[in-house]
Amino acid sequence: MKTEEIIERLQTEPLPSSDQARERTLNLAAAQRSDRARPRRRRRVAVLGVLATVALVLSPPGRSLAESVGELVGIGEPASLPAEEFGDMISRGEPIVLASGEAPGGSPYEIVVGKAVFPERPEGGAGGSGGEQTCLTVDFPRAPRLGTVEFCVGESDTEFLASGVLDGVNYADGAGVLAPEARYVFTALLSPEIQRVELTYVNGDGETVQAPTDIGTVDEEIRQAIGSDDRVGYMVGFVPDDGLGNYESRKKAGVLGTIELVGFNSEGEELVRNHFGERFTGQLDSRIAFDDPQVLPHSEAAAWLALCAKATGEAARLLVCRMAEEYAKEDPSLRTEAEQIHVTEDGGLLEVRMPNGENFGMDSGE
Amino acid sequence: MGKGIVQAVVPEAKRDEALPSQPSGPDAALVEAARSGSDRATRELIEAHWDRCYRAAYLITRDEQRAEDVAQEALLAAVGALETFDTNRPLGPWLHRIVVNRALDLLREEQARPQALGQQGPHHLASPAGGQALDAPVAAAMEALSPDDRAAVVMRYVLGYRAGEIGELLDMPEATVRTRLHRAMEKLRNTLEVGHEN
Repeated sequence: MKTEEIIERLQTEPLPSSDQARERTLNLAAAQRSDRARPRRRRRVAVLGVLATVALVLSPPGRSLAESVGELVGIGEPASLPAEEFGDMISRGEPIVLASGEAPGGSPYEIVVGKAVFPERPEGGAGGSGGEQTCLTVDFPRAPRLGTVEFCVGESDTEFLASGVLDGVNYADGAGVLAPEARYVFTALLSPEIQRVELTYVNGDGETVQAPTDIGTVDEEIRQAIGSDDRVGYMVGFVPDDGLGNYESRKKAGVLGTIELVGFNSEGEELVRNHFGERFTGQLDSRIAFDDPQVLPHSEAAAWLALCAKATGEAARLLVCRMAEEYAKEDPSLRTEAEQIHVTEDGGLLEVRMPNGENFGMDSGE
Repeated sequence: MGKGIVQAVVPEAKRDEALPSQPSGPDAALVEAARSGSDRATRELIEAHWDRCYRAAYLITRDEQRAEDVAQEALLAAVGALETFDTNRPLGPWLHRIVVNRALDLLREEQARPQALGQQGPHHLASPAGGQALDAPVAAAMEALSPDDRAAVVMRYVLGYRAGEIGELLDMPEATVRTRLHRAMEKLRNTLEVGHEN
């Protein structure tokens, strides 16, 4: 089946009838509407809080996994991960090991890096141009593949990776795959000067615990081995169940709701801090807030303000600027924050880079 | 994150009211009327968005009951917040955010629960379509993808979002979204080919 046909069928293929559910929803909505006489009101802009500093109880002490258990596969050696399962691109080089060790509970892991070559796309096609990319992932050779995120970076990401970045923090649930001590597998993309990461969480006793982590950096030797010019790093960290059990929702996220990641340079200076847990649990709140179209998270409101100056299309200006100015009236600090947000335009797409390294894009409206 | 990142060259999904950067269009009038107390307008709003919300939820959850719950929850949330809705913004993206988030949350809960009981694997779900015989090979092939990949595919090709917008919602870099979309479509193609050969 061709891609076009798959897309067509995704949009049109018959699904089980939902007529009864739709009717039920209509009835519920009617009841909901008649049951309310809520006055129109505006809610205040949701301001994201600042995390309090926590005292660390180091257990285990801050050390890399590779140091603690010894390397299983040498850096630069061929990865256990078969090339055909890596990258899955049109063509690629042989993946090699960037770092290796054992996850808590004993499963060996390999941080794998390789070069992928994306096809050049025809002019006017969707997406960016083709080219070489450096892709990184973590593999557990003796366990089924987890849904860890594979990152690929290329030439255009050089600037993005030029300063302290700990980006795309993500986790995979290792339940049933890895030991309970490694229930959650955290991964992230790092800018190359990050030489150490700390991943902390609050356990069932309320103690802040430092989780075991490992990082791999694509240095000159690795770049030569894979034929890449991209300077980038990758981290993996393991967080246990810690007796908190499974979460029912993000609001009861247990250990996941308390995760923080910090990146340090070789001098031990903190370069970047990622409040993953706050985002994870707060995400639900902020999404609810965002679901209420009158309320945006503070940082997003600042981004809209920064975007306003660049949004040249009529519709985008109306949409972005009107809202942004309204928010700024309520919270003047947004203007200061907006000055720290970098907005660039590239082929009709506005790219927003937040001070914390996050980025997102939107149409310029042209 | 842009120039060096590639995604499969495929036709764009139909970008109608779901397009986040579009003005709100006909929804605005319906929202205004529903706000004024028109039951008919409320009904029209729900009917206008039901199929799309349900399809998105079904393709992500692969389960009829969950898809119905997700679509219902999203639409009732919309109706419940009409008073505060800014008619300069389109209704679709707001609904779709709720649909995708809720569908993924349900799957995560589903992943966690069987493990706690020592039962089936994390990706096991009830068989689609509640046992009904459907000619829906592509919907069935979605089972081969991870929940996040399903969400990305649905957002791109059913709801018509761009990679950057998907990344924002799924909390991953745009480059990763493009990579995942490319891989997910290839996996779908392979799954369908194998199914066809068998």
